[in-house]
Amino acid sequence: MNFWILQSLNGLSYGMLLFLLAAGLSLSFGLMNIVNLAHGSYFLVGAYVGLTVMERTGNFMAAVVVGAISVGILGLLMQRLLLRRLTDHLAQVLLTIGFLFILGDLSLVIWGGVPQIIPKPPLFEGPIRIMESVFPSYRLLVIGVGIVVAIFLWWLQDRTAMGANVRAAVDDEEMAGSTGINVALLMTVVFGLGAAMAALGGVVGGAFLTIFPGQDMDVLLLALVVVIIGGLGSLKGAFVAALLVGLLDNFGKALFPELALFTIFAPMAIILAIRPTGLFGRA
Amino acid sequence: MDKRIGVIGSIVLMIALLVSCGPGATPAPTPTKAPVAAPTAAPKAAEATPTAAPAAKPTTAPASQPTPAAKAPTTPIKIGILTTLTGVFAAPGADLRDGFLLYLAEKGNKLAGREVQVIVEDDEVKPDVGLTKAKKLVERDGVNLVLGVISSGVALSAGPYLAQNKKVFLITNAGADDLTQKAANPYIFRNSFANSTGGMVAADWGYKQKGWRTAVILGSDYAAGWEWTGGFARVFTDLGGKIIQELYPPLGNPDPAPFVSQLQKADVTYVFQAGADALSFVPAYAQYGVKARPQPLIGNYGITDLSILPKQGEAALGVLQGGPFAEGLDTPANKALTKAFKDKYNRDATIFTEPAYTAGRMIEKALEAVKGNIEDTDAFVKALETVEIPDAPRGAVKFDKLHNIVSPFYVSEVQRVGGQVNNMAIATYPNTTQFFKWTPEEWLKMTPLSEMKGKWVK
Repeated sequence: MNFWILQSLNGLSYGMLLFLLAAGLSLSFGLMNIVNLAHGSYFLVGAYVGLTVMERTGNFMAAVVVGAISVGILGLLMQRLLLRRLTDHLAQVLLTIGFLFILGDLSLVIWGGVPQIIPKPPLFEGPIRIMESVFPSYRLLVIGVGIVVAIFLWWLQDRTAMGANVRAAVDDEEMAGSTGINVALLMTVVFGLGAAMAALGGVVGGAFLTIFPGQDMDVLLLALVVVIIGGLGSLKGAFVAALLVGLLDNFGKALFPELALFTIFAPMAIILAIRPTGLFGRA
Repeated sequence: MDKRIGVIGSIVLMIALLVSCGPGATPAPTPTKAPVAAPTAAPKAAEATPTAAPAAKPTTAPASQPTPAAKAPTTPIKIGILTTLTGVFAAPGADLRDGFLLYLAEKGNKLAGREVQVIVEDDEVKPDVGLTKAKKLVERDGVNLVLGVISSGVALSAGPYLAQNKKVFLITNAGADDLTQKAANPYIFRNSFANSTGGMVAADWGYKQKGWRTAVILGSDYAAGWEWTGGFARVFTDLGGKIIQELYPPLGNPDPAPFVSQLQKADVTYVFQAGADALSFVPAYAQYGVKARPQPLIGNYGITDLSILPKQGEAALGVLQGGPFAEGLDTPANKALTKAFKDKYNRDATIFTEPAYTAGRMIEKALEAVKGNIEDTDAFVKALETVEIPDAPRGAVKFDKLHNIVSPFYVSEVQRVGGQVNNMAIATYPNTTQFFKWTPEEWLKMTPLSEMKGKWVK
């Protein structure tokens, strides 16, 4: 019993982190048709920036905010100056994979190759007792952050004018443009938001997953799996899929550690076979 | 939509391949099928030339210096450093390289009267790349000796090639037991450690000094993890202790949660974790309340190595290790090395520095014995076999018959000393060999530890 509760909490907290990471990727894929492989770099660079801010100020909130905003701006610029000009998938893949390598190597030069970890806020440093088991309070915080962000995004998409504009632009870009919506600007903003969220995930995750060269590639893979399972462009899909992958990964490792990758990829293959558009994707 | 799924599907596949080809899974390839041509782009293969080579060489040796043996050529000795400079092990790889370069710099780039030219190659932690780079060092650069190597996978693929070509290969990190046991070779030396020894020392000390009788073992799921934890389990069970749980997280598993949260109650937890895995494991061990049970944590000496220890915070205090070295070791040579390294490179020397630094001394001593004539490989090998350094940073070191190091081993503990955390030795096992309390014959008859995974819990 104890085992199942603890491992579920582990999986949920990991899944929430995956949601922060993958939500932006899903949006840019589904809404803007952009294949962005540099998304993993946003996570990594955000984590490193957060680390530097944390070391300078000792303030975790500042680390989160600066990390997310700086990478958000990086995303805005990338979309505005480069990605927007490319409509061909192959060109996008080549360009963004180039960025993946460049940002990865730049991080190695700036922050070195030694693995790093962001100090946790002192309030969430210790363990918490849940019935007879012990669980890190920080991971509960991660679950909380994930839920708050999910609600915020849902509100943004479903309850605001901006969200309505985005949905209109997705359904018919030209028609939306002719009604006076500045589609280009909208896309840039959404793209930047996605990058900022990945960076937020980087800072939050950097405090318990560590940060190291090559992590950009690892998390990109997970984000792509989440997006494929959840369906392109669906926030609800990204949320459900992220929790699913988090739980699968955790229970997979706990029960069959030798099949660590299999427990993620097998469900992905099955879902693709049954529902090629993902759980919540539209055909 | 379907088309797009296809696009990302193939991308996922590509990245999965990229990731799985990384250091996480590095099977040793068959050494015979190495690519003939050097890779088209050798990324970041740093060519380290001597820092202060004299502008012009004097045409005649100064009268005050004894002329070297008649046969020894006056050309520079070429030494290849095969190490890792990109990817997960970039930092340890640089510590290894700089350890050797520091020794050379202290000697004015001369060993036994001959100038030394160093060529550094990056193996990218990939056995096939390592082999290609070893070939490049031998065939293009004409090195006399190759040293270094972080990863056992690389050592196992480059070793046979170097030995075939009669080049001395001095391993200063890679710990796979096989390298100086089943795959032992006259031309292969190792001055770091064999994986299993650190675990054996930890078990012996804990059983006898701490009265531990039950243990949980947890090791990264690859050869090093099996051998370190296997060494612990073999000695622990041999003494009468009991292993009650074995866990093997994949290598490169930054989230230890699924494993830490199911650790059973025992007298002690023995782990092998390295790099980023170790960095997150030690805090998680405290945050999941295992440390406070109390259940002491003892592991390989990399779980709290000095490059990650300050970041592990309070959770690391009291963590124990068994290994051939501890950064806080109180020997004059270690203090000198620690200071010189910090002065020159502005960072702390780590466990990867000492063997590379000591390699410099060992090579120099062997060179002196053959009067600088490294070209006579067989004489040089004989000289290296008999080298003894009584006062290396880690203590007295020499080679055993299979060319593995015989050195003191330590049990150390993370302590706060003068405001700084460090690994401080609390017990010493002098003159420890890779066979520990067994004879070489007895040891080699036992099942290799890399095949014992999953068989310790009775």
